[in-house]
Amino acid sequence: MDRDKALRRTTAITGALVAASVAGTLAVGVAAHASSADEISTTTEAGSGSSDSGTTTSDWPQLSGGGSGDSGQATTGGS
Amino acid sequence: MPLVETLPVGADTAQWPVWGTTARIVVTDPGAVPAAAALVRAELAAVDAACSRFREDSELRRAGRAHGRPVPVSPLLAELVGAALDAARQTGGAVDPTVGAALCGLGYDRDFAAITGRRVAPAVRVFPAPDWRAVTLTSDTLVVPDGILLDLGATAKALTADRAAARVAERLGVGVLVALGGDIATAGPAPEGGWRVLVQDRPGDPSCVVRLPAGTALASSSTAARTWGRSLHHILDPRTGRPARPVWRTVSVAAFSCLHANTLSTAAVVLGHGAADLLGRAPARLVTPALDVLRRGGWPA
Repeated sequence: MDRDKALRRTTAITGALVAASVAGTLAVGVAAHASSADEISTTTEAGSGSSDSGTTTSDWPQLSGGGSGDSGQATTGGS
Repeated sequence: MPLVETLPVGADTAQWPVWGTTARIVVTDPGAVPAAAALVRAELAAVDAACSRFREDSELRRAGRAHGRPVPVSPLLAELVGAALDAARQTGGAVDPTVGAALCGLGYDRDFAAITGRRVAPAVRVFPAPDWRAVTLTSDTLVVPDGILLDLGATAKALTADRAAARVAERLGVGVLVALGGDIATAGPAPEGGWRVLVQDRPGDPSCVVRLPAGTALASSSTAARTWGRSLHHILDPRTGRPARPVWRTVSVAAFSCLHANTLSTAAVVLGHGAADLLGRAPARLVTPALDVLRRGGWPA
């Protein structure tokens, strides 16, 4: 009786581990899909162009666009 | 003419020529402009004396004449060289300060203002294997192997913008934007809505205006700026000793320091099609030679 009980418990634990593993694999897959999806949207600026829509994080500053007719206080060209 | 010179100079702004480009400062209190300009000029002069490769009396040139012997260096030069070596490390050598001799071999051997229109010899590579790992820096000692000429241009200008902005904000208690050519650093409080920056390389190129939050920075690197001779420009590919192939005409990157932004923008130009992996999620705008624009990392449309 004790042996059967222990066997059932072992089977249950193994099943839970397998389920957790599958869930983790799926989660990684979804995350990877979301990550690559960030790279494919397109927009244009002053002619043809493309862009990703990756969100900024606290690792990077969040820029905003100037309004129409907005002029610069400084210029970043190449130099 | 650098595009920046065409912008109006209001009561809150000062600008003047330096290092073959234009220094421009904007402050949140117009009354602080003279004092801010004086602080920035002092910072520029200190950096020039420390690391100009065009001045015989600079600390950097003296270190280069030591034939590989250890040379004591000032804290400023140690910081500048350290920043250049860090940039090399972070970019896998794409931004390499040991390209100085190769730049000289291409004709960029004096202040850029003296180069425009000058005839130069065909491109040659002066020595075969410049490598930043050959340079050794401790806290106050620098060893530059014989035959290597350091060029800190890619990182020194950006670090100078960071240092100057921080100094102005700390000393005067105002918000400030410091622009040195394509390198922009800010410190202190920003104007309402952020610092407005026109992003455009040459007149006629695609343009946009972005707003920078306080304490952020923006740098652009270009294969269309600082050009001379036959299709020569100032961003060298350390692997070849020649100007990087113009896969990108202009790369602009935003970060929390101008040094970081410039490291990424310069490396992106050098790496060409490999720039995407390096940039990751950094806000970036890349312009092709055909003037197509690619925006990444949340760069605003």
